[in-house]
Parts: sequence; C-alpha cells; structure tokens
Amino acid sequence: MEPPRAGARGVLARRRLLSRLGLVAIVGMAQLGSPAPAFGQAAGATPQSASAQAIALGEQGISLFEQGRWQEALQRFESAEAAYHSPVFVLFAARCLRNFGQLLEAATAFARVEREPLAPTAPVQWAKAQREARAEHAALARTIPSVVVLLENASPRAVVRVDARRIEAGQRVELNPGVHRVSVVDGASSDSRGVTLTASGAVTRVTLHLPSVAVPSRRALDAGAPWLGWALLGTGAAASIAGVVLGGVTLSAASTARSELPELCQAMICPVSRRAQVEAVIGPLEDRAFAAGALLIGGVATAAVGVLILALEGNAGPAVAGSRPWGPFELRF
Amino acid sequence: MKLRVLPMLLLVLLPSASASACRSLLDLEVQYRDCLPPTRSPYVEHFDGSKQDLVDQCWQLEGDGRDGAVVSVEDGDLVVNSGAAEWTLERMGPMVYRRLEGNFVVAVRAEALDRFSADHCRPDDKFAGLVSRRGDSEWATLLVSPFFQSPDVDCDDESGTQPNARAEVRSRGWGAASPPAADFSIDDIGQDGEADIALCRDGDKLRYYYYDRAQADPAVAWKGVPAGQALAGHTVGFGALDVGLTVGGRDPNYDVQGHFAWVVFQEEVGINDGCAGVLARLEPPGDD
Repeated sequence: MEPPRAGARGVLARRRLLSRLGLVAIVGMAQLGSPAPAFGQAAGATPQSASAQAIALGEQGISLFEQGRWQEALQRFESAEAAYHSPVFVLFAARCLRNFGQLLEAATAFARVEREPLAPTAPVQWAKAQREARAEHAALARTIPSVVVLLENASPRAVVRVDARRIEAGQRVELNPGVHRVSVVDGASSDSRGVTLTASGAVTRVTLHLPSVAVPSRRALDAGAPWLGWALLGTGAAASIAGVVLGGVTLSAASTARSELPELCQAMICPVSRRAQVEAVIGPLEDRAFAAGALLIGGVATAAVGVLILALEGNAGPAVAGSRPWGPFELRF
Repeated sequence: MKLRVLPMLLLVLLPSASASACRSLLDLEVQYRDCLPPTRSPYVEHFDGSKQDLVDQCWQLEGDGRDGAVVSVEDGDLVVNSGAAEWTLERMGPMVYRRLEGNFVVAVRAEALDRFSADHCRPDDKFAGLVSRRGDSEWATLLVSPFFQSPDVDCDDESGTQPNARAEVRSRGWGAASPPAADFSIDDIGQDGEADIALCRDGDKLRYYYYDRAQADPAVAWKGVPAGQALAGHTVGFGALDVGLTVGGRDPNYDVQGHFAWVVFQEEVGINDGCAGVLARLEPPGDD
C-alpha cells in the first residue's frame, strides 16, 4: 500500500504541532548540522536520522498524551529523548509521570528540565519548557504526600521500613500516592500497618507498637542487663551463706580460745611478752571473724544491689493495666 | 548516677564495718601488761617454767648479770650464781623477789652448793636463802649455808648422816649486829645441805623460821630462828617489802650457787592467827 501523501494543509498542521512541542527546533538544528545527540544515541546514526526518529516518536507521544494514555506516551517520550535530546521530551515525560501518580519521579524529571543549562542559541521552545517545568514542579510539590512513623517501646536497634525502603523513625518521608506498608522489626518483635496516601500533600503519622516485655527501655539498659542482677543476687546469697557458716564455726572456736591462751594470762589480760603466743591463738579467729562478717554483710549488700538492678529492669517497662512489674516478678491485681 | 554509686559504696563500706563488728563480737580483745602478779594465795612456784615466766608474774631479777651473778631456771630449780655478790654494809647480793604489802609468809626450799663441784662443803660465808628489804640500808637475810668441811664429813654424801646446814639471820638497819655478823643462827637444819626456811611478817614484825623434818607433827614442825625464840625477829615497820631469794659469796672465789626447789607466798596472815598459825598449816610442798 502506498503511503499517504501529506497535503499542504497537513504540512501546516504538523508544523504547528512541532512548533508547539519545540520539536521544530530539533529539526532545524539537525538540518543546520549542529547536532544535539542524546546520551547513549546509537553509534553511526546521523543527526538527521536521529532527529527524524525523535520527531516521529515525539509525535506519537503527543498523540498518546492527548488521549490520556500516560504510560504509553511516557514510553514514546523516553524513546524520543534517547534518540535525540530535547528538554521538551523530558518535560512531557514528567507530565506523564505526574498524571499517572508517580509524583516523586515526575518531580525529579521536572527538576532535571529546570536545572539544564541552555546555550544562548538554544531554541526559544526549550527556554519555555524550562519555565513551564518550574511552574508545574512547584505545583506538584504541594501535592506530594508524606508519612512520619512513630514507635512505642522500641529499642534503638529497631529497623523501620516503608515498603522495602528503610527509613528513620520520626522523620518525614515523601511517598507517591497509593497504598504503602509501614513496618518495624526489633529483635524478635515486629509490627506493621498499611497506609493509603493521596495526592493532597498531607503528612500522615503512623504509630507502630511493640510488646513491652520484649523491649527493654534505655533506662533498663542503663540500669544493667538482667543477667547482672541475677548474678549479683546469686553471688550475694552464696557469700551470705558462707559468711553464716564461717561465722558459726568461728564463734564456736572462740568459745574455747580462752583456754588456749598462755597459762599466765588472767582472763583476757596477758603479759606483753606473750603477745606472739596470744596472737597465734587469737589472730586466726579474728581473721576468720572478719572474713565471716565481710562475707555475710558483703553478700547481703551484693544481693541487695542485684535485687535493685532487677527492680529497675522490671520497672523500666510500661505498666499494664492491672499489673505492676517489680523486679523479676509481675504483680497482678 | 547516684543510684549506681550508692550501691557500690555500700558494697565496700558495709562489709568492712560489719566485719569489724563481727570481730568485736568475738570478745577476744586481749589487753597486755608488763607483768601480771599471781592472784591466787597461797602462790606456790615450782620453777618448772622459764625465767621469763617469773618476769611475767612480776618477779624482779635484781643483779642478774651484774658482778658475775646469773639467774636461771634449770631442771625445776631456780638457780642463782653468786658472782661477786655478798650481803655486807657496803653492798647487796642478787635478789629474785616480789614486792609484798601487808602481812605475809614466804617459805622456800634452799640449798647452797659449790658452783663447780656441786658439793656442800663450803665455808659458811657462802649461802643461799631468803631476803627481805625495805631500802638500801634496811634489809635482813635468812640464809642456809653449807657445812664446814672436816675429815669426818663426806661432802658428796647425801645420806643424811653428816652434819646438816646452818641457818643464819643477818640484817642491816633492823638488828643489833652489823653484817656479816649474824643476828640469829641455828645449826643442823634440813638434810644434806638442803633446808626449808620461811619469813613471816605480822604487823611490823619480821620473823624467821626453819622446818624441822624430824618432827612427826607438821603443825609444830616450823620452828623459830633462833631456837626457842619464836617471838624474836626484827621490827621492820608496815611498809612494802621486797621479799625473795638470794645468794651470797665473798672474795676470792664467788663460787656459791643457790638452788631453790620451790617457794610459797602466803599473803593472808590474820592478826589473831599469827605467823605460827599460818605456818602450822603450811606443809612443804615437796620438790615437785
């Protein structure tokens, strides 16, 4: 079949369209031999053939764009941009992205057009595209929704994600409109929630909760790990028992110590020359008594510190209605 | 932060304080004195300990190591070597004594030997026995001397057949005579040069006794020196006296050695009981 011929009317219409799109400038530049090849343009392609291909793809994109077929139009504009660069192609791609809800990607594309340096000889349509991109970018920014994730009973080790993306709790994160899943994992505990965002520019706060028993607070961490409390408690108890036993043995030995004093001693008064003999009898008893006292009271004090640490550990979590944590126990009422 | 520091302080301070408290609970706090005088009466000393034991019981060893005098405890005897010591107007001999207040009876088994040959045949200016002293110029001795050597005497024989010891009282400041002259004396006491003798103060009187082993009744065996003059003695006043054991020698040999098997201190002498009453109940304890 013979290809249709373009009549004079058809030529004029096409020129208007190209002018509107700034594509005519591409053609003009290519015809003048001042190419503006796109990054990644195929080797061996002449500027004339590349621009013609880009124009063809741009025309298809415009047509699809006007029909509201955003994704197909986006594909054409991206192909056209790949064949021969024009800010106009990028601008239309950004509009496609915006229109089918990819606001963040659209904002990036608008910003790319805005930031592109233009030569003084650049077509006026390119400068116009930059102005339009700046205005549409500002309008778009006001519609991008965002989310702030808050945590309860989480440790500093907790990992927060939106969909697959890791974020920081408490910080505002911009997202595309749609349904997202917010989650937190803290050791063996986790929580997640779905959230629906619209292109309203609103900030949505989501609070995730973790079970209190699995989340030691910073206060509890400061007070010491539970093992330390139990270790002190056990050590103190053992030392106390040892002190009691040693004290009993020592008191028993002390009751007979007087009979072991030198014969010349009268009651607990002895000649100074017998000091060495006396101390040989009394010294070990005194040392044992000292050790017994130190073990006993030191053990009690150590155990008390252990209980204190465990109490701090238990009190660090939030009180649940009807119960009150106390040390290693939980009082229920 | 405070919550952490406080338990740590408690961990250190509580055990230390409590350990000290536990140690004090034992009530084993021993006090020390330079010496402790015996509290029992009568106090019988058999010299089966050491010389330090005597010092620890407030015995005074005067003259030990001076002028050749040596005090020692050997085989259950207190042994005093005389050295150059003698009891004269000019000087005093070594003394192993205790200071006594009030009334007392002090009895001893004394024997004077030759320091080197250990026989009993020495001149009578070598002696061993008791001494009582109030000051440098007021003292009295009751001394047992070996017997004189003679052709009829075997100085090594301890069969009891040879002449026995002589006892003399010599004094300075209290008696009529001046030492070395004897105030009182008695011959042939004890056995084999060994005799039991005693001093007794009752009030301001100091009296001298020996034990007559020939007496069947111990209640009357203690007899006064001189014989038949039980109420004789010296007026020594009521103050404290140094009472103990001594020896005496004289130039040129200084070789007497006093052996004392035991000594008894009885510091309760009643006014109505008197020295005779106390001594009547005092039986020599024997060598052990």
